[in-house]
Amino acid sequence: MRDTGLLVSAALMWLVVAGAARWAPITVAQPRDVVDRLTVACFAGLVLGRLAAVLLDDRTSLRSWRSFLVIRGGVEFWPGVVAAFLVLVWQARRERTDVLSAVAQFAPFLLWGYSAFEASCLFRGGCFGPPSPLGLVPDGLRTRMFPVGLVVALVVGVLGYVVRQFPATDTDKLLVALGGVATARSVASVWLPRLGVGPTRQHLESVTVALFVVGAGSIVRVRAGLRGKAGTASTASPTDRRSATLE
Amino acid sequence: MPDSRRRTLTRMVQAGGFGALVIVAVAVLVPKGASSDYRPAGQPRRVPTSQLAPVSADEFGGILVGQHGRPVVVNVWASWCAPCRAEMPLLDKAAGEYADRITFIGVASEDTQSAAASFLDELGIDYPNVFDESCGVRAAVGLRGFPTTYFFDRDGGTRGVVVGGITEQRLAAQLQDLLR
Repeated sequence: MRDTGLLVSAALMWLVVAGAARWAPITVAQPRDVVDRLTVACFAGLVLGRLAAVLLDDRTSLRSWRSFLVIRGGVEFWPGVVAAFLVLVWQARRERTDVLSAVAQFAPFLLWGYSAFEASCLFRGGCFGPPSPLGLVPDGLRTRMFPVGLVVALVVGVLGYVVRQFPATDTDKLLVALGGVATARSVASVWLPRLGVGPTRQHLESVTVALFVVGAGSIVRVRAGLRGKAGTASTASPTDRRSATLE
Repeated sequence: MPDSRRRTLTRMVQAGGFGALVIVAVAVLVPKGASSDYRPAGQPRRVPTSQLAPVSADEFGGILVGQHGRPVVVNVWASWCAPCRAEMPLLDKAAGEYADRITFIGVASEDTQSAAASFLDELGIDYPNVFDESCGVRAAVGLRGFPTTYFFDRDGGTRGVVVGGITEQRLAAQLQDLLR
């Protein structure tokens, strides 16, 4: 059966990223290339995310393409992000551009694309959340729910703007993007309906990533501090150095 | 007209067009909700204890009537249907989680009994499943596609219908809605 909701979500993501690429040009790619490159990266993310979900949930589904293609059966978010990241790195190396700078410039578009996906929960059977007098009634239910997906969309959309507009090093931009999404997903997972009382796998993964980002950010800060004290030359990327100089 | 004003105007028109497109898309594409007029009737029966017991539409109606006072989730599936395979472990988990409050019944339809039995064995499904031998159950509930999950409230009325694979969020929300 064709999953119209997912198709609409994909179309909206594409529209938002294409519009944003025209509105907010970057130096490492032309607006049209932004969409092309992100389409490839997101496709790789979708495939690896689905593969991870199948490996974790039902390995026998690997025997059948039809089972594998049931996207609604589950896509692991973070393995998908890793795949998309690796594709962007590969594209940057192929273009002989600075990898960190390229990925940092693409990060806001990924955030806006993800924001569009969350916002389009309306098309995928409704936006769920805790029962609340303020909210929407998802399709087929009688309970009004606070639409957690729409709030995540708003937070991630603003995060994209922050990552794009505010002056910071490429490393900081990437850490803020990753940490912001992981935190938004961690908090949202608390409110989303689930089976059982324990945290879901998606919830635990997002908490792990958020903690990893906090740890990585602390290490980066400490190392930068030590380097500053020692007065040694920075080993950061050229763009990092440029941004640090501007700051 | 100066270039800057023309550009601003063009952008405003583009943004307006995009906004209108989104509103039309929301109006047209947001699912209106599948529904079913099916109302179970007949002599109350117990849920068969053996897996994949063949049932007719009347017998199936009797099974649902026998659950009066308790919400029921009915999942119609087939062993050849890929989304059925994806959602079945979720339904099994939910059946265990809500065992004391909600009855879960699977209906294997448009299938062979042996293929359906292998399917259940392979996935290790424990909740009761019946076999829609003559496809009468399928016709009675007004099935539109595989899989479809029907949610019946305590009075036997259809509270919700999910056509296609169900997600954990949707399933949990429907179950909480049933118990409210």
